Amino acid sequence: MTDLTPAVTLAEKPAVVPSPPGRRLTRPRWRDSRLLVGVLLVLVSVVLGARLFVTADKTRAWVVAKGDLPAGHVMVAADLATTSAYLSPDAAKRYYPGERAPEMVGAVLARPVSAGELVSGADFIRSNVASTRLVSVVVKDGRAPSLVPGDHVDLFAYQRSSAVIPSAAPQAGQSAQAAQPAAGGAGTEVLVLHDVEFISREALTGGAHSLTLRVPVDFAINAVAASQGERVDVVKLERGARGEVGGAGPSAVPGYGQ
Amino acid sequence: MSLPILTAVTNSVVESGLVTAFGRRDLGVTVVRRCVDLPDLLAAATTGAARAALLSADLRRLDREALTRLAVAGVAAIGLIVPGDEEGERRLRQLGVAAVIATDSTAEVVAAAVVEAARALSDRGQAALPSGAYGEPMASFAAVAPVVPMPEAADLPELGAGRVIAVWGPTGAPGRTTVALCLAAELAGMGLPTLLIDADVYGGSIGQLLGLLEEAPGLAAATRSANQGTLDVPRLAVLCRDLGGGLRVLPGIARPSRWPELRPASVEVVLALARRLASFVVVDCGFCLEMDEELSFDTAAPRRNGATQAVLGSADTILAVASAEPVGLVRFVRGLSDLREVIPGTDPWIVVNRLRGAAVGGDARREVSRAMVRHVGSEPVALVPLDMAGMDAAQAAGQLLRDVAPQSPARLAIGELAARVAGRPVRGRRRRSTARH
Repeated sequence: MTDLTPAVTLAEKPAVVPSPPGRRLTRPRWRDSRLLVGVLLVLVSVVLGARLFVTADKTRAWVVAKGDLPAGHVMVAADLATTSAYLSPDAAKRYYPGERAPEMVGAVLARPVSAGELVSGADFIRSNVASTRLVSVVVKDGRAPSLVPGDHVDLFAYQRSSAVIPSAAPQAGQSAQAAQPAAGGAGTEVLVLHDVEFISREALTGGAHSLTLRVPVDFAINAVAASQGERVDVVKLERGARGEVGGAGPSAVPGYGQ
Repeated sequence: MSLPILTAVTNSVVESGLVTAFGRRDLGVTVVRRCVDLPDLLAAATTGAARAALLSADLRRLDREALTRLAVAGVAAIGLIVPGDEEGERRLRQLGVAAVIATDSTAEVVAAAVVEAARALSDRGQAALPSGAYGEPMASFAAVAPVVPMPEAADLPELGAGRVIAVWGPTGAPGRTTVALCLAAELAGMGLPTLLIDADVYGGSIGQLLGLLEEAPGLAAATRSANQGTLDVPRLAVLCRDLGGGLRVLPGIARPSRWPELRPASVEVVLALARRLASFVVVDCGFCLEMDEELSFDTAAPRRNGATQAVLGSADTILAVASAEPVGLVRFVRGLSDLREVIPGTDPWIVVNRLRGAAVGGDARREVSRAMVRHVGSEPVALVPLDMAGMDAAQAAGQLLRDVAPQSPARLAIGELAARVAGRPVRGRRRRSTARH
């Protein structure tokens, strides 16, 4: 190496005149203000977004069955769970919200409920509901108006002889009247059932229809008997302004031949 | 014998009075031409018909370049100012006009000042300029008209306190800028205020290598101010950019086509002021030392390499950078002989850059040192290994090598060089570890 002459005496304190700082590219570092601002922006967005979703969330907890439950099962708390869902106001009336789950403990299922199915009020046997029977009545074509399930009807039958149809006591909501024997030999038109619920209609061969009606237990035999008749008429009940269907009227009148 | 002089005075009444007085009485001076403006004055001066010139402070386009041309033509400049015009006097003195006289002085006083200035220039010129200085392309204006310290700068340190380190190298990109950049960073890292100047007239790149986001006017603005006589230390400091840690940078010209702005006389002024701004002034030079303008015999033409030669002429230490491959070494040997011709008596420090075994063969350090001794006559001061990965990373990030790769062998070698430059003890380390790659 070259033997160098010693450096000259240096100016240890040159002019202290400041220069403006040079704006330079900066090395990427974790402590970058842009990174911090970005993270802050994301956090604020997440918090605000979460609050927005919470505010806009209209779902509620609803009671569902935890497992498959058979009809007649007596509910215990372990059978029930809740799930979050949004139901339209109309649909919401039919199902139990989560906070009412304890009310169902001890209730008896009226029908099987599958796992995860929302539990509705119709799934349970209600204490104030009397037993009913579903009876099929064969009606010839043209002897029944068009009906939709839920309509209430009267059922008339033509009785050729003067046999007496056993009377039936009026039931709650039902006001079937006992048929009275009619005078005259041409037969009698008898009111067999009054104000019973129409369930469904099934077309049969030969233009006849089989109407399924829900009838009180005691009147099932009346309906079965009437179904054997040659001429059975179904009359649809139109409700009045207050929802009443009106009285039964005379239960039997003389018939007009065949 | 009466002294032939020129006049270029904007106040015609004053000029007429002086010419009349000089004509009536024998005051030792004769007005050979009354010039109307600066070009007229310069044209008259180059004819060699006059020895001195009386000029007004408010003469249009009067700058250091013009005064340099007057001095080179052997014409002493005497400034005339309106009485009480301190601004004009200060500007003339900053431009290097030694004699400044108020216009209300008597003709005798003016004549005496003219004679004295002409004599002073004649004495200084013979000592400073070689014979036939007029024909010489490189005439240092600093030699004939030194920069005059300003009165308000009295509290600043003495002129020339800082050391100028010129980093030069031959053609072929041996790594001048890299060495200059790293050297300045290492000097600043030692706690020594350092100013890095990019004076490369062929494409300086210091601003980009440092990742400077703004295109600061830098050296071009400084030389312009110096040419107009308005540059001082505070102004120079404002043109520099502080990189922190005691390192400032004066960026170079943004485009190589702006080289005419780097007038040699102005560069000398900038360097003289820079010495007062920092303990070390590291200057990145251009490679070319030729003066093609000589071929055209038009000595008044701007010289592209004049700035490089001005820097090399002003430098206290010249670092000559060689690239350690056969082609680079041959270029260096030839370039160094050119340098010794241009700057007679200089003894540059040889820095071998980009050292790697693959390009030289054998023990790269020993081979290159031997070749240098054989062909140049002196051993290298520093052997800087090639650290391509570190340099690339620094360049990609726009950061200094010391910040990107502190343990880079290139950085350590330049750190040792910086210690030598600063006269500090060099830390010992295992040299063999970086000799081969």
